[in-house]
Formats: sequence, structure tokens, C-alpha cells
Amino acid sequence: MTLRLSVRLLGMLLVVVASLPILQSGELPWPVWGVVAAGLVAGWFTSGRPWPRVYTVLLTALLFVGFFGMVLLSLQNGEWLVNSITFGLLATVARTLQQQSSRQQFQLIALSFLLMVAAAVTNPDPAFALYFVAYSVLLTWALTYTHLLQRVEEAAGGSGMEWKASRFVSGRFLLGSSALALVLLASSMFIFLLFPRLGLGFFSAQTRRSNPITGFSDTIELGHFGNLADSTRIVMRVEFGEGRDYLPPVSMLRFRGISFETYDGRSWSRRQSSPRPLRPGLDSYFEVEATPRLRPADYHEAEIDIYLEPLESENKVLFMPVRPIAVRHLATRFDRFRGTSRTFEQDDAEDLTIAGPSGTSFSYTAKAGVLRASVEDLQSLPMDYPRALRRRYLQLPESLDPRIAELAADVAGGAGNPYDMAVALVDHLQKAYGYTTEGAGETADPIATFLFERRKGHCEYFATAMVLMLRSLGVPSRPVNGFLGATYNEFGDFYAVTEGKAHTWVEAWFPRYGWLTFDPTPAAETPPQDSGFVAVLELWVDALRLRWYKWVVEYDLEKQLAVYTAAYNLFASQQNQVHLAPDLSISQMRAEMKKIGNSFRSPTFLGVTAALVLAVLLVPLVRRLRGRNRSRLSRLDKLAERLRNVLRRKGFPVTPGTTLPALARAGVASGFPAAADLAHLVVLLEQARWSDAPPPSHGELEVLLRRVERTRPLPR
Amino acid sequence: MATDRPAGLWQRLRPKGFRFSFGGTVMLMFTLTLGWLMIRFPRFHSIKVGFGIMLLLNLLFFLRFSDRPKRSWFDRMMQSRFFPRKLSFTNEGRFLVVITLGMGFAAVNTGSNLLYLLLGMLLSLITASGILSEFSVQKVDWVADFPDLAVAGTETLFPVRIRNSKRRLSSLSLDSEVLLPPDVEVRQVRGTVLKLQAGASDRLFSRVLFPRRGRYRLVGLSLGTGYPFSFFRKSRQFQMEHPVTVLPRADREVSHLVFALSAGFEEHANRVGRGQEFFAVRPMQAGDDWRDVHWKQYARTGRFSVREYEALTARRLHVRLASSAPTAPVATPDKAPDKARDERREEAVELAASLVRRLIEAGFEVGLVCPGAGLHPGAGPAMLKQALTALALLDLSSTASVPRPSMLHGREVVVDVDLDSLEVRADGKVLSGGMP
Repeated sequence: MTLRLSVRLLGMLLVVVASLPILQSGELPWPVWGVVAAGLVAGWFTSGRPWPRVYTVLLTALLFVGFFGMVLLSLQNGEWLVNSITFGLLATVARTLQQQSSRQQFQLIALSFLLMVAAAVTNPDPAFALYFVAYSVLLTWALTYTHLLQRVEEAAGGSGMEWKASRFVSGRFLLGSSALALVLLASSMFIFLLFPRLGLGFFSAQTRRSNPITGFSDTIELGHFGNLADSTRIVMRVEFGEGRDYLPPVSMLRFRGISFETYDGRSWSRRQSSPRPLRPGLDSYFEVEATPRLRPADYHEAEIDIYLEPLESENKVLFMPVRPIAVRHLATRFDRFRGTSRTFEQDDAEDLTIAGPSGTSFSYTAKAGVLRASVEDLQSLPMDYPRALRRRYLQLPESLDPRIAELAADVAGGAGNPYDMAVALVDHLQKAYGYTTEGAGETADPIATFLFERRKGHCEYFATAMVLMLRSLGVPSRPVNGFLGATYNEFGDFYAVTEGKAHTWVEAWFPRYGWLTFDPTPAAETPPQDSGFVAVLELWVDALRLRWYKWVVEYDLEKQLAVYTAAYNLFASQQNQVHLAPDLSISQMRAEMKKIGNSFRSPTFLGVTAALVLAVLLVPLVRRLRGRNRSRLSRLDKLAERLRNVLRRKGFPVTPGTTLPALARAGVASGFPAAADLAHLVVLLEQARWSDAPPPSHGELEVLLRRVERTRPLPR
Repeated sequence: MATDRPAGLWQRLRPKGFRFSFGGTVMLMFTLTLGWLMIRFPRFHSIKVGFGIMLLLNLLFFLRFSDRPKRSWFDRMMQSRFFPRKLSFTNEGRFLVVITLGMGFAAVNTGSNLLYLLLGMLLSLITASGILSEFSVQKVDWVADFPDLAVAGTETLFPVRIRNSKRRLSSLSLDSEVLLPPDVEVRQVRGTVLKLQAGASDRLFSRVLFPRRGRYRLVGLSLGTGYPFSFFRKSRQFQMEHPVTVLPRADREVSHLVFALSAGFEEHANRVGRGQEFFAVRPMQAGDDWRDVHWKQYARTGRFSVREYEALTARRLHVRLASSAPTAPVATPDKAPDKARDERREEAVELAASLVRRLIEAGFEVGLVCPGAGLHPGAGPAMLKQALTALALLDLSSTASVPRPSMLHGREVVVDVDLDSLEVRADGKVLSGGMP
């Protein structure tokens, strides 16, 4: 393979690797990709041959027309990004058609880099990491090869000759350039970690494509959750903090989303209300309001870190564990620099939402309250409800099948308190009905069909049936949509909540404790967790994805500070350890930073610095001294330098560019008495220094040098 | 260009030898600002330290500037003893820097971490370029074997012997460049060696094309590399003084002139030489050409004898280069020289050089007479070199008189080459009509 062909091949590969993430993002229509593929194939077969000038002019004119077309189209439809990327791709393809010189090759490399920039904007998926690694390696090779081609072209002066790549590129060269690519990758990551993340916010912030999620709008029809049972798309990832032991098992852990209040016989809806921001509390937490307010003695606290994926729904729901006490941002201090600052809000139904931009993932710490109340406590609570609550959560549709109320009275009418009523209903529904993800189909009254005909259904039917029965018994209740359970990912040490975990359950209101959770849905016959290779790979990829989003796509100043301080704390003494928690005030932060200053004045630091400086100064000196004694060439160089000094003293015009042969000739021309010895010495020295011939004996050289030294100088 | 503008207040008041550069002024303003901040916020010790450092830098680098030739601070730093490196951008390097700045701007303003990742890659490329090129150029010993003579309009090789004195690392993509004063324009192709293994030696051949004859002063040698990505050329610059005499081109077609001038020189000189006529026979000696053996004499006597030929009369010419115009106009700073006239005169010099060369090659003894210089007739390569050197150094704007050729022998011809009309005359007879 010729060097030119290798360079062309690498250029093509760069373009392909840079285009793939754009293709994967799905931003560009398929016809564009058809043109690109055809252009690349044509480029491979035509780019080696010189083009007639008229074709080149025609192609350039076409590109200009394409550019103005792109501008006009963008003005019309506003799709600047997509149109620019399309034009960039077509320009790159046009460049691949002509790759005859190293200059054109450099242009192609530059265009491929711009494609990579476009890929970074359109595809923040973890797959980008793979493309980035491949691109880095190929880029290093392509640049090195193109550099070689450029030098060969310069030396040949446009003779049009071709050279075999193997003449310049050996296995060691390939190995070296591959190692260089790896070093470049590591260096890129290092700079990536260290480059200060201080945004000025002139442009829009980094976004990820949001995934639509159903079940969290203001009105929902019964039956849609059954369709999600098989979905494995991850909605959020969860890590446990303090109080883990108080929480129920992960399979029973609920992430509450949104509640509903009005049932019209076929669908649930919620009342529109203007949400209000949460009040800030202690430790950067925002307090969740609840009626009645729980007393601290009534619950245990547990903290859960939640990493929410970008979701697209009518309500920007904040998923919280049951029962939410407080919430805080995991990273807020610098969000306003990135334009991603968001606030927590709560509406009349005490449901929590997020206000702020979408398109980025969102992470927060939720504080859950796990009730300490005993069954006796709950059984002792009276049926005494505020009027507003009764009006809102005892609503029943006018067309409600009377059999539902009768069934409720049969099952729970004998219970003496609301708690026992709820428990009796849960018990009845779980035991007497079956679970299926299949919908009930088109029926006039889905709940009556479920309770008296079909006798099987999924969570929405169970929850709705229980709410209707509780309300018919006079207990304020409501259905709540959220997620139940999570899957442990051993590779990432977190729990993943998938869309298939979407669930509906029931909340009933009790004096003193407020809304309590009941779940009438019987346990589904879930298949055992798959432990095959594909499942393991999926877990591994998901762990990787979380790390990618957490540490690359959404790496910010907060995380950067965490990296810096962790690195610093590795070396700092115990009393100078720095902890930059997000809730530090300016003065606290200054105090922490002062510790760093103290460290720089510590004897250990000063000692290490002094040792390093000494090493930097001494190592070259030691190497130089050792090298002088060991190298044959150095000995001869030393002798040549001595000769030059001797000749300078003898009056010879010695300048840095004067060669020894020139000095020998000058000696002959000026009648230097030891000109013959000088010429002999110079011949021996030059042969020894510039050829592979065995060196003359040191004694012989020394004798000649002394003879020159003893001769009288040139006349002034 | 000198101007008669009256000196400003600062020019009149400033201490002799002091000059503020733009960089110095900016730095001084920064220092003064820090000084003000130091007074305004006395509790901040870091400002005091910064002020001290800036003051020191001002004193070290700017206040001691004298009126020496203006060079940028970057040039001065790169060519200092401690930092003997020069970094220049290639076209690709300029593009890289522009795109890196653009990428940095985009990354900072969008907060897009993937753009930061690409920015990191670009910065890594720049850093790797700097480090690897340093590995390539360091510890490379060199000796320049520059020629003393060159010919105008012809590429001349300037060889440099190089040796990689590193123990393990190869030097890659090394090149050499001959340095000339900034006001001298030459065309140069750098000499290149793609790979020089540790301990190995090789030669670099820079190809320099001097456009005009004259004496040039080479001021140094630059050894550099564009390795590994061609973004930058890092070079080490070495000062060295090396004069080069660039001879005029002597390849014009003048055979018709040589033929015409040969016409008067067929008389026999009555001595042995390389003429065409038989002169005598003598016994053969070692070194005689076998083609000259007189075979009839050998047949008669049994001993080898050789023929000798009679020399022609002395073929002696004086080439005189002078202007027929009464007085040569002199270029002054306020009177631009006549470019066309200068080019014509250069052509005349090339014509004379070609004539001298062809005549000497044809066996003539040629003398040279031109403004401010005169050479006695001589023959052979040494004379050719002398004559061409004299023509190379000829100052065409000189008003010195053209000396008369010294006629030592009776039969000598003076060939006049007119500087302004390019007319060639021999003893007053026009041989070539000059310029059209």
C-alpha cells in the first residue's frame, strides 16, 4: 500500500467514525445519509485521480450554492443546527472526492473534526465515548501519516512519485503512534477533569434528549400502565444514604409521583392549582408541607439519593419516596452558571414538582419519613376529617354502579375504624382477584366490569376499586401513580428503577398521620430475574451509562471541586483536610480554603517541594556527568571542543559555524607551523565523529592535539 | 524611512537609552493598578505579593530597554540563552489554534462537557506537539559545510551534517534552514531527514536560490522539526556568520560572439602548443598520448616518437564593462532608482559573465575591466572564479571610472559590453546589436 493510499484510507475512516454518532442520534433524515454513503464510496474510487479543473470549479460552485441554500432553508424553518450539520456532512463528502495532496488531507481531517463537534452536540449517549476513543486513535495516525506525506511531498518537489507506506512506517512506528494516541486520550481526560467549569451562559446549556413518560399528566385513562410492564427503560437510579435500615425492602420501595382526586367513571383527573416553592429548612433541605404535620417522634428518617433521567411529561414530577419529609439538590451551587438551576414546588394535593429547564438529568436527596405508628395507634384514629378534605377526596361519580358501595359495605362495613376498613379492602382485593397486565377493553364501567365480571386486572383497576370503595365508606382516599421496586446493579452499586415498575396504589387520609399508603394489587407472577450474559451485559452497560452521565456529560464545578478536594485530601494532613459541602457559606468556604494555604506552609510540603526542585536541578547534572564519561561520541566531542578552544587561542577565526576542516584549511593557508598535524588530527576526528569507522586511539589524538597546542600562535 | 518630525515631550525628556514598548506600557499600567489596589485593600497580602512580582518584572524586562533594534518580546525570549527555541505556526497550526479558541468559547458558554472533551483533545494535541518536537530537536549536533560561492538564479545546496546524540530516542522529521538577515529575500527549500536514530548521523541539504548576484551574509542556521502533526515548527536557532558570494548567471548563449572573436587569432606562435599544425617530432615520454605516436618514424627507427603541434598566437582579450551614457545616474533616498535600467544593467553583467566564461573555456586569456575593478588577463578555472567574483561584487551604482586595460602585448582585443544598451563591440566593431 502506498503512503498516499494509507492517508486516504485513514481520512475516510475518520469521516466515517465522526459521522456514526450523528447517524445514531437520528437528527438527520435518511436521504441525507444515502447521499453521504454514496459520496464516500465514490470518493474512495475517485479521490486518487486528478480532476479536470472544470470539475473542481463546478464542485466549489455547488458547495457555495449549498451553503446559501442551507442559510435560506434555516431562515425558513429555523432548524439551524440540523441544516448546518447536513451542509457540513455534504462538504466533507465533497472533500473526500479529491484527496491528492497532504493539504487536502489536512482539510478533510479538519472537516471530520467539525463533524465530531456536531456529534458531541447531537449525541451525548455513552456510545459517544466509543466513537471518541476510536476517533482519537485514528486522528493520531492520520495526522502523523499526513505529516509524513507532507514532508515527502516537500522533498520530492511535486514529482508525482508514489512511495510505499512500509518504507516510512514500520511496526514500531505504528506501535509508537498507537501509544501516542493512548497518551493523548489520557491527556484529554486529564484536561477535561481539570479545565475549570465556569460558564458564562451566552449559549444554551447542555441538554439531553428527554424521554416521554406516561401516567403523570393531569388526566389519565385507566389501563395504560399495563402496557408499560415490559419496558426496561430506566427512569431513575437510586443510592441509599443514612437510615437505610428503616426503609422497606427494595422490592416494596415506592417512589411517589402524582395523585388524582376526581373520578368520572372512566378516567382520573386532578385539579389545577398553582404550585408554590418549598420553604428552605436545615442542611440545605427544603421542607415538604403535609397536613397534618408529622411530629418527629412519629417517624424515622432515611435519605435516598435519586438521579432522575430527563423525562418529558405534562407535569415535571419530582419522584419521592413515601413519605416525603424534605428534599435537597445534590448540586446547586453552580447550576445558575450553567442555566440549569431548578426549584422544588408543591401543589394543593401536596404533590411535588420541579420548576426549571428540562433536557438535563436531575439529582437530589430525598428524606423519607418511615412511620413508627403501631396498628393499635392507627386503629384508634377516629373518622374525623376536615370539610375541605371530605369535599375533595370523597367524590364519587354519579353513575357509580351501586354494587360497588354494597361490596364495600359487605367487605369492610363491619370494621370499627377506617384503618381496619382499608386493611379489609386490601385483603379482599388481593385474595379474591387476579392480576393481569391485559386491559379490560372497551366497557361502559371498567371498575364494575373488573369487580363483578372479569375479576382480574392490573394496579390501576385495583387502586381505583379500593379508592371508590373507601370513599363510599366515607374515608378520604386517592390513587397515586409512581414506581414500585428497583433492580440492584452490582456493577454500579445502585438501584435502577425502570419504566416497567410504574405502579398505582392508594393513599387514605388519617387524622394525626395524614396520607397513608395501601396497596390492594396482588403480587404479580414476576419471572425470576434473568442472570444470563445479556442481562449481565445490560446491567454493566447501565452502570457505565450512569457513570458517563454523572462524570462526563453532567460533570460540573461541584463535581470538579469534589475531585480537586479528594486529590488534595489524599496528601493533606488530618487537620488540613478540606470538605466543600454544597451548603457552605462564603465565610465557611474561605475558612476551608485557608486550610489549603496552611498546607502550603507546612514543613512537609516545603520539604517535598525543596526535594523536587533539587531533583529537577540535580538530575540533568548527574546525567550529564555520567553521560560524558560513558559515551564514545561525547569523548570525541569534548576533544573537538578542546581543539576549537586551542585554535581560538592561537588566533584562528573560530565562530559557531566554522567547521574543523575549514579551520584546518585556514591553518594551511595562513602558514600555521603545525598545519600538517592539525590537518591529520581533524581528519581523524571527523572520521571518528561522523562515520561508523572504529575510533582512533585516544593517545594518538592527544599527542596530535598537544603538538598543535605547543605551536606558536598565528601572527596578528 | 527617516522623518523630520519634531521630537515629542517624552522624546526630549526621557533618559537616554530608555524606551517603552507597547508590552511594557501595558505591564506598567497593570502594575500601577495593582499598586492602587494594594493601597485600597491593605489587608490582602496576595495583592502586595502580586505588586512586588509585577514591579520586579517591569524592572527586569522593560525599564532597561535601550534603543536597540526592535524585536518582539517573544522573539527575544525564544532566542535567549535559556530558551533557545523558536516556535512558528504552519497553516494547519493556525487553523488548530483558531478552532481550539472557538471550541473553548463554545464549551465555556454552553457548559457542554462533550465539547470540553474535544477541547481537551485539541489541547492535548498542542501539548504533545510541543513535547515530541522538543524530543526531536534536542541533543542534535550539527556542523554546517556551507559553500562560499553560489550562482544567482540557481539552487545551491547548503549541507549540514547532523548527529543524534540522544541515547535512545530517534529524532524525527528534522529539517534545516539557512538564516539570512530579515531584509534579504531568497527562495529556500528546507533540507529534510525523516528519521535519525539515536547515535546516527546524516546530512541535511537546504536548497537556497539567491535571486541576484552579490555578497550575502548568512547569519545562522535553524534546525527544526514539524513532527509529529505539522501544526508547529519548533526550531533551535544558532548564530553563525558565513559570507556567500553569489556569482552572476553565466549561461547566456554567446557562442556567436566567441566565434566572431576567435577569428583574428589563427597566427602561428612558433612554439609547441595545442594548435592544429604539425610542429616537430620528439621521443615519446611517459604520459604522452598514444594517439600522438608517429608510426612511420617507429617503423623506421623501432623507437616510439610522438608528434608535436604548433601553438597559436596568444589569445588574449579584455572584456570591458562600461556605460556609454555620459554620467550614470545615482540612486538617492529621495529619488527612486530606475528599475528597468537596473535590470538591464544586471543583464549586461550576466552577458559579460557568460562571455568571460565561454572565452576562458575556449582557451582565451581574459582580462576584466569594469567600474572600480580591473583584472589582468589570465586563463583557467582560477581566472574564471576571479572574474565572476569581481562581477558578482560589481557595484552598478558606483560612479568610479572604468580603468583602461593595460596592453602588455601587441595583439590584444578589447571587448566592450555596454551596461545600458547591452551592445558588444570588439575594437570598436559592433558584434552584437544590444537590446532590441
